[in-house]
Order: sequence, then structure tokens, then C-alpha cells
Amino acid sequence: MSSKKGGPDMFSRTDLDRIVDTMERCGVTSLTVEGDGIALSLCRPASAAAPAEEAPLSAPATTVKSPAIGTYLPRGAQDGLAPIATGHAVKAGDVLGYICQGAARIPVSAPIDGVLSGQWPETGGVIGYGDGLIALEGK
Amino acid sequence: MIELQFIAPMATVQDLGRDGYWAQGLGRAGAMDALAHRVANCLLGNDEGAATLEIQMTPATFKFTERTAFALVGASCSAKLGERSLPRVWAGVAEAEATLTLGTMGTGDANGARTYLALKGGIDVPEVLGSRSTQLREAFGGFEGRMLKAGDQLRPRDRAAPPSSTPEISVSLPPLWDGSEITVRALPSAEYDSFDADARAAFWSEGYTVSAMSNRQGFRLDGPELSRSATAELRSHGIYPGIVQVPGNGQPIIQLADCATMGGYPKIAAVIEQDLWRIAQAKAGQLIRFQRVDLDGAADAAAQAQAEWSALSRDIEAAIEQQKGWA
Repeated sequence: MSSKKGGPDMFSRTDLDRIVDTMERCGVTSLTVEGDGIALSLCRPASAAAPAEEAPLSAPATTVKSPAIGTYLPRGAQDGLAPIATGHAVKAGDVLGYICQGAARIPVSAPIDGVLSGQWPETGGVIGYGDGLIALEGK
Repeated sequence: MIELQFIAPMATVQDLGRDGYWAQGLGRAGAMDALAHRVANCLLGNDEGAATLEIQMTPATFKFTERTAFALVGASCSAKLGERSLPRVWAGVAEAEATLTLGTMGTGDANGARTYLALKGGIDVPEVLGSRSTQLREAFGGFEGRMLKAGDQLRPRDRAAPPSSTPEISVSLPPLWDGSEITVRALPSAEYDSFDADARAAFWSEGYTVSAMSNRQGFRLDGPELSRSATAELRSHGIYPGIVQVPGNGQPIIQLADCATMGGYPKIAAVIEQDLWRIAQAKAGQLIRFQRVDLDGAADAAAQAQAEWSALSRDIEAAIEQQKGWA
């Protein structure tokens, strides 16, 4: 990408990102824009594959992973939070459940906004570090 | 630094209390729920005696001006850190400019009446007569000897920025409820035998309801009248948190953290120290039931509570170490 600035910036960072996304989706490998004393030229590598269809509307499911070794405890057990079930929408950072080590409970937090899908582990089930706990369908 | 943007009345800085001045008429004060206070400190790696903010009423809104580790332990209060709903027991890090809001106290099945906010190293207020607790009646100690209000600023004694490896952690607390009641163990007290047989029987078998006239000084309870044939008045004598007095109207009063050091009402029982936290978490309208124990039973309760605390604090420390290692 090259640009000659003769005046104020022609495009914001967001604008440039959108232009690059559109080029990728449409299979465009070269784009040149010229204006008053300003020129912008964008080139994508020719070998980059250009998908023929639009990008899918929903992101693939993210697996929520265990942050610790211990036994699984769902939220809503006298912790001041309402229980949540599959199909429930959550926000990034929401506590979804806990991995217990004795009396200590390590909270499992949602990595992204999304909708819970799949099955929770059994309460009291042994969970390893990094084990998948539930899926989150991103919005 | 944390700025209190809004806080309901009766929040005070407390630690485990100011011992040693009873003979001079200065009561112990200190956290009403010493267990929640200790857990909040343990979650941050603090000494158990570090000062916390005891919050008895909500709402409250705290603004963190810089990245700050904190713990919140006690009653459920719809706590939210930004958009995140927090469980009623939680420790972690608030980023700079984050806001912690507390909503209605004691919602859902967890219920409860008080929550404790802890900071790394304890809340930074001067130590007076060996403690950072607030003596509200005497207007000293804690935060300028008074309850907190909007605009007040709290600082941790440990000002170092929390490392990125600081884990988020929670804990399972002992259950408050025994079904839908709160049961507390109590020893018969000095004037126990002077109460009528019906009164003594009712005291142990019937529940008593926490009235709205309840605060850090004591809880007035409503229930079966405790009548006493002896009519002579008692001379004032030393009393202590946990003691259940019965004034002329026959309705018991449980003396608590900010109680006076002396009183003249007859005493029917004394709630054991290990169960005072349960009273602290009882709201107005809550039923309390007294369970009789003798001195051996009380000693056993103390030993058991100590063993449970050792196990709980050990579990917390081990989990924190492990999570730091994985960060």
C-alpha cells in the first residue's frame, strides 16, 4: 500500500479496513484512488484466494476452555448469580461456571459475547486445564 | 484509588476489631461478618486483620481511577464490574476507569445483608489504638470516624499495580441457611434460670424474627414473650457481642459489634462467636432460631471453625499460586 499525502488523510483507518475487506471478498487485487493532490493505491498478492460468496453471517462456535484443573460447578448455586442454560446469551467476561479446588472456585468467564450451545459438563465432573466446557456461538 | 460516586448510608471501614479497651468503656467494633471479612482479605493475600469496607446498604457505585485488585465477599448484591455480573464472592482486577456497581442486597437464594470490599494490603486509613475499625459512637477510627459518603476516596495500603498474572478467584462459603431459617448456637447466660420455664422452653424451640430496629449495635427480635418472675433490677455489668438481653417487654435483643460495654437487662443466653456472622447476614423479617449448646459444645464449635478456616484459606492460597503459575 502506498499513499502520497498532499492534504488531510484521505481515508480513516476504519475506511481502509473496510476497503481491504471488500477487495478480499470481491477478489479484487488492485485498487487505485486519486483525488486532489492525493493518490492511494492498494494491491493484494495475486495468489490470495478470492471467495466467490459473501463471508458467512455468523462466526463459527468458540469453545470455552477450562482455566484450571478441578471439578465443575455450574453458576447459580448460592453464588448470587442466576443459573444459565444453553440458548442463553452472555457477554464477554460473564461468569459461566466454576472449576473447584476444595473450597476455592476458579471462575470460568465467557471469552466473547455469544449464545451458549452444547452441553455443560456434569456437576462434580473432573476437568483438566484447557478442556472444552461449552460452546459459544459468536454474534 | 477508588472514588465513591454513590453509597447508601452505614458503610464503614472495619477490621477484626479494637480489643483491649473494654474496661475503659470502648467496645470492640469490627466487622459484623468476620468470616466474610477474612475471606475477602485471604482472596487478595492480605493479613486477616487488614481493613475492609463493610457495606450494609446499597446501591453503591465505585470508580477505579487506576488498575486495582479488589475482592467483594458477602451477600449477593447484583454486583457488576462494568457490564460483567460478579458472583457474591469474587476477587480480581478492575482496569483503570472501571466502575463497580452494587444493586439490591440479598437477592435470590444466596440472600444475606452485608458485603465486604477489600483492597490489596487493606484499606489505607490510620491505625488508632491498634485497629482500623470505626467507632461510630465515639467518632474515631476507620475512615475519619464516620460512615462513608459520595466523594470519599479509598486507597489500598499496597499501591503497586497488580501484576497481569493476578487470577480471578471465588470461594464457597458455609451455607447461611438451615432450610429457610438461620440457626445460631448459644450458651445459657447468667440470668437464664431466673426466666420462667415457659420462657426458657420457648427461647430454644420457637424462632424469633429480626425486627427493623436492628443495626450494628444490636438486633431487636420479635417472638414469644420471655417472661421472668424476678422483679429486682440488676446493677449494670459488662456485656459483650453475642449476649441476648431481655428488657421488660420480654422481647430479646442480641448485642452486636457496636454494642455498649455495659448493660443492666437480664441475659438469657450468649450466641457463640462462631455464629455471629450468621446474625450479621440476617435481614429484617428473617427468622433466627437459637440452638442450645454447653461450654464443651461451644469449645468444639470454636475448634471446628478454626479447622474449617485453615482448610479454606489453604485451598484459596493453593488455587491462587496455581493460577499465577499458569498465567
